[in-house]
Amino acid sequence: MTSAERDRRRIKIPVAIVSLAAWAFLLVRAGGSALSGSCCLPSSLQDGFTVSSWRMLLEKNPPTQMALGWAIMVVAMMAPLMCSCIQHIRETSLTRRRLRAIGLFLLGYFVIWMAAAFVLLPIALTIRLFAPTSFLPVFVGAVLALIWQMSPVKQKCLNRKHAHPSLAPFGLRADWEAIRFGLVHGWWCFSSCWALMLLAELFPSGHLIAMALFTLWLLAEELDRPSEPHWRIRGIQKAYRVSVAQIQQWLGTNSRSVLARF
Amino acid sequence: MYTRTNVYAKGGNFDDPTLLWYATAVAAMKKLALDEPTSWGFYAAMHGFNVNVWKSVNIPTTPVPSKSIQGAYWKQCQHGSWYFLPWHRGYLLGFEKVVRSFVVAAGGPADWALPFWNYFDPGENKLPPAFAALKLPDGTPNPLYTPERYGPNGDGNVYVDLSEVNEDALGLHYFTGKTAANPGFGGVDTGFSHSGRHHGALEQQPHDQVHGLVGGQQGNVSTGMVGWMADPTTAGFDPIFWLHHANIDRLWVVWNALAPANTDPTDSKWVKGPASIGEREFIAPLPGGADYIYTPGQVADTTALGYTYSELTPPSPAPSLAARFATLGIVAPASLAPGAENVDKKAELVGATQGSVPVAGAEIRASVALDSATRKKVVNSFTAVSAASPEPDRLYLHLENITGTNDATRLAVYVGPPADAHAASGTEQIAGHIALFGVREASEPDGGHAGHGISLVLDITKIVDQLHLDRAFDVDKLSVRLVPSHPVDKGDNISIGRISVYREGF
Repeated sequence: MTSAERDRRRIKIPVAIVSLAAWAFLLVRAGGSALSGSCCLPSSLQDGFTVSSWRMLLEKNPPTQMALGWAIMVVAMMAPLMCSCIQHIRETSLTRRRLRAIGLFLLGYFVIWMAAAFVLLPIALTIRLFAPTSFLPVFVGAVLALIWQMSPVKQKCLNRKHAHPSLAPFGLRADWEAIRFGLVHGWWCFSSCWALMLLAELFPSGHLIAMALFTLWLLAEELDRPSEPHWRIRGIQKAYRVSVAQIQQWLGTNSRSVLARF
Repeated sequence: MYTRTNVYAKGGNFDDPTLLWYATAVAAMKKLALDEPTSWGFYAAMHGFNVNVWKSVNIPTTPVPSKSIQGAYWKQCQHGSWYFLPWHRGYLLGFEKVVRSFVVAAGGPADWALPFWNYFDPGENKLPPAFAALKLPDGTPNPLYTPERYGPNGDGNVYVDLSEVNEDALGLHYFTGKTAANPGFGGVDTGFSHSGRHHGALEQQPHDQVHGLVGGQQGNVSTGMVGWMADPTTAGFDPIFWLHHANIDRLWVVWNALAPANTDPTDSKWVKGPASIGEREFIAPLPGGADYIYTPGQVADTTALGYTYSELTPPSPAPSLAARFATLGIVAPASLAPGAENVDKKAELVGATQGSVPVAGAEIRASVALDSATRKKVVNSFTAVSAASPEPDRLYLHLENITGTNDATRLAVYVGPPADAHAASGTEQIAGHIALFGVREASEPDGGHAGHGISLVLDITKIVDQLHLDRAFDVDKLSVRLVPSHPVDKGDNISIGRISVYREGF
């Protein structure tokens, strides 16, 4: 193992633990079943879209609870995507400021995602109130999400997300630049992931499974190189090629194969 | 076994049949259409392709091959990565086989091999005459000549300014580096992200610098055309490119033979290449429609590949670690063997500029603020060694996230105590030269580097040693002065994201 890989693991392992803990929390919160309800939206909205149903909904599911659910979901899904940013901050900060800079970055990042909750959750909530058990919103949402996922604009967002700026080393400026990095990265992360995050919220059941699949998709996109924006399916090919290469390595076979040209 | 010989072995002119046959083959390759895999343009596009840049320098951009062919073969060049050396080795090997096939087809020798240009040999730093001649001996146009070479002064006088290049990379004992501190002889393990920005030591010097020196810029003004060699997307069009890279490849062989500790990576990600991390495989078209598909592990041994170099003499060895102990006046530990890997050393930021440094005009000054606690660690490592800290720290100046639009920019970098402390103690010294080869492409927000530019590293250990001995390192900041080879125009938008100092130690 190279020393660079050793450094990367210093970040990857704790991040994986945090992400897995968040997933475990979501599983437990969903009543032990991955197939019931949503992690941040109430699961029983059988009364349809009325004022009283809204009132009852908010009484039974206070916004703080929804916010907590959303935050846990963001940690579970997004933490694995932040390894390279955290690595960048760790490498480019003074040793005594590393934790502080990473903390400020995370603060900025989560500010964006919590703000995003104010946009995405009401949309998802409203749709769920209209069609609490229907998969029709999921179908429509999936079509829209797929269009977004393939669009050149999505690629632009991914490209911006890959940019890691230089950070000032000292003082308030260092603090501000760490926060700003978190805000900017969070914005581009939200911009590129919002469609799948919203789609995950529309599932009347199987929500956690959808979340897990979308996380893998987003992770594959993160591993893909920045590239020129144009229409294409992205992430899937990379996931396939990485998986095949890893399996071949474990099996001891040569990774050079026709699969690499896929 | 093929032997690659020195281009100057017979004077570097057309008295050398190797060069005459090379010219014959190049002419034949240039006649083929761009979408022919063994054409001159196709091989150049494997290194880099940018339709707008090609058009701007009057390079034909049609007929382009299909998207799938482009995706498999073009723009493969590995810069800012530990794959830099092995990718170029296979690329060169494929090219050499193609050229040889044309040589043989024209009635030339079956053992033709690519020459190398060792600009470090005394009196051989000038562009070999065969590449500067307008005509072949028979009076026809010389295909090895290209007018898009402007040289260090932008006047068409092409030579490698030896004051700007060095072989210091050969003094490193580890192939793989880290983004913090030293990027190593061969480059940084970039992991799955595979979009590295730090150039390895050999890639930076002499590779990048020679590209910048030979290509240059017309008239040394920002409105002048950038020489083909100075830009990765056009470099492969210049016939001297291949001789320069043969020399870089030769230096890798020299490095391997220099010390038992100079071994290539054994990590499977390197050995099996980028295909093992889900990237496309290395591929080069061969004569007859075949492909050469290779991994770094398969090209690590040149003997197994069937070629060698006529000249593998190493340069003068770098000063030993024992000499450094003596300079610093500290007692060396009993055993001082250079480590094969720097795995046990920590890399840590010592200080940096508070913000970006715009590069414009004839001189640029910056101040690198140092963290007093980390600086004390450095000073402590200079005063005594222990079991826990058996070597004094090494120091590196990082020029991070360099962005801009002019690849022909070259800078001399000086480091010293703060300007106001010059008179008191210590003076500035040159840290080295850098060339911004690849900066334009790496600065494109929608390019493969996401617009974060390139990062270059200079070893400033000797300078800091001297400052320490002059009692001039006990300061809150260091002064950095950048002197461009010619004044940089603001319109080139060149900026250094941050200039920083890293320590590598225990």
